[in-house]
Amino acid sequence: MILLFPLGLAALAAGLLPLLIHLARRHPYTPLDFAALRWLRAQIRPRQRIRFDDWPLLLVRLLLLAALALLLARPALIGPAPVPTAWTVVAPGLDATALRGTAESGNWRWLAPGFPAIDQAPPASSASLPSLLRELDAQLPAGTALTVHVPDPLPGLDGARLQLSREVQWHTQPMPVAPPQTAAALPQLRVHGEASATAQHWLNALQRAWGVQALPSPLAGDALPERGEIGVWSRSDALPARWQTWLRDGGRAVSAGKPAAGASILLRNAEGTPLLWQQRIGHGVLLSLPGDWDASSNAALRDPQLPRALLLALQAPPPPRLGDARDQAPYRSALPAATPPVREPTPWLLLTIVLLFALERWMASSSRRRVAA
Amino acid sequence: MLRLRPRLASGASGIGQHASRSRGAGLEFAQYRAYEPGDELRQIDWKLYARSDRFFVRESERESPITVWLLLDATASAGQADRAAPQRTRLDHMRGVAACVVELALQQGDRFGLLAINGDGLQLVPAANGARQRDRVHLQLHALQARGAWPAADRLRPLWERVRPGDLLLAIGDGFDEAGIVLLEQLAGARREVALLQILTADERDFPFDAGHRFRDPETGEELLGDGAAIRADYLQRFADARSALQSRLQASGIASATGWLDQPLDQPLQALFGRGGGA
Repeated sequence: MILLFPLGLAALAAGLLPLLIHLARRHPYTPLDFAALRWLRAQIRPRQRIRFDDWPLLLVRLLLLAALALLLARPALIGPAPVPTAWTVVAPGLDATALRGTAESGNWRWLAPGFPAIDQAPPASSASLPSLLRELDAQLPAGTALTVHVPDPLPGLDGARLQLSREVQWHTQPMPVAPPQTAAALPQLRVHGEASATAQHWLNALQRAWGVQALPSPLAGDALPERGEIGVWSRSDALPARWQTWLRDGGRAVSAGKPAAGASILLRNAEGTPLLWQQRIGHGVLLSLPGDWDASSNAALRDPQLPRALLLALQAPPPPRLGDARDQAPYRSALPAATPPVREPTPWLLLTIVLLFALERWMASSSRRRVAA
Repeated sequence: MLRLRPRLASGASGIGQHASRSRGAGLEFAQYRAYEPGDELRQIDWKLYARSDRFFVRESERESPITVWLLLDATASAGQADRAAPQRTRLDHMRGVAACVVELALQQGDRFGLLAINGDGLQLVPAANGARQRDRVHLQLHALQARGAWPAADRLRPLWERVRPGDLLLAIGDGFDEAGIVLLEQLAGARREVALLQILTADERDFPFDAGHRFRDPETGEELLGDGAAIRADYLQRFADARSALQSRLQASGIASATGWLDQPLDQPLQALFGRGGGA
């Protein structure tokens, strides 16, 4: 048995209360009629002797307080370690009966939330399989062998490689998956009003290199780009105050101004000269491509890597969600030991407390009755 | 078989079971005296006449009834009880002893009356005999409550008017009140037949207190904090001394006395006073 909140045992100090009350109650002696008082002579002051009368009642009261303290301390029972049985999980969508025909024994489950038994209908779930595997690994007691049947390619991958605390028999079943048609929207540039023709010319070329047809019309006057668009400031002077505010609130902008000291270099040319800087301003991102934006005079603009570097900086490609299942076989790693399932005997403790309280009331009232009789 | 026996032959009135100073016709032989004119002829002892040729009259002791007075000390100290039996107070025990005496007097055909003394003064049931008198005494005993201290002497004056010389007065009480003892001495000195039935609690005899207690005198309200075990030996010594001092003082005044304890039978002091071999 363990205590989930051992500090609750400090409530045991409350047990001092009935003890003190019990002892303090005795101090003023009840006067005792004694007619032969004249032959008594007080020699020694009476000693304060610790004496418990009604000790069964006192004991019950102390037990009651102790039970309450125990309730506060939240005791938990650690059950006996369950016998390790081999688990086999099958990802929904695979043909479980065909897989099972080869091996009847073991505990067959669907790899779905709640891990339903294989006899039930395959659940339609869109939960990530690696995430479910991690959950299962944390739930299963150490030593349970795990066999996993997953489709190939394996969907639902996330940033981290699958790491489990046990060796896993990893079986892959080829299953055609329609690749998700997610056409990533390319970044939309929006040039400020007074952009020079050479700058517009270069920006058009940049757009065409990304595959976007036309540059939207320049902003009128000192209007701000819309949310989602990428503001372009082709002059080398600082951004206007309104643009700065917009940038700080989460906008993204490309500027021809000098980069600040803390900016990081994104791209260098073949000789190693930095071409493109990036810096965070508030919630926004500011890319700096210093120099005059004239492709005929500025060699940096003609750098072959520049369009791709700009595109990557403005829009990172989505991580792959689908991978070769055989490559995604989980690593074995030392994960923090899974906490064994604990059972809190709170209802029983509450029942004990109620019974103790009833006993205490009964004893207290019956002893009072006895005195009255 | 208990009998209430006065030590002094007394009473000149009526026919009863007690020896009297008046001689006359009866069962118990007292003396012969010379014939005087007027004596009944059947009183003459003819056998003696045959031997002595003179007339002698045979006289017997007449048996006369006595009057028994019960003097109950129902001051507050009578409310004390033993810790072992807190429901049974000294007054309860005194009532029991008084009821025993009443039964005895009733059997003997004696007159009996009740004098109860507590803080309220003297409560009196005039002496009479018969079963109805017993009921009156019982009623008064039942209504009696232990309270107050011994009253002043002038409040007890009716007692002197009621209790006549030669009456038997049984005082039942704890004997702790000095005024009470003085009253008994005065009564005994004035030719009343006085006996003291001292009723004491077992706690007073054994002093079974072993922890600290606040002892309180029920009459004066005086209090004393003491540790039972520490003061027991001294108390027992002083209490025994006081009892023997009282004993000799009563004996000097011709007052018979016996002690009854709350944890012992009711008739124990009566046996000691009037039983076979006891008393006078």
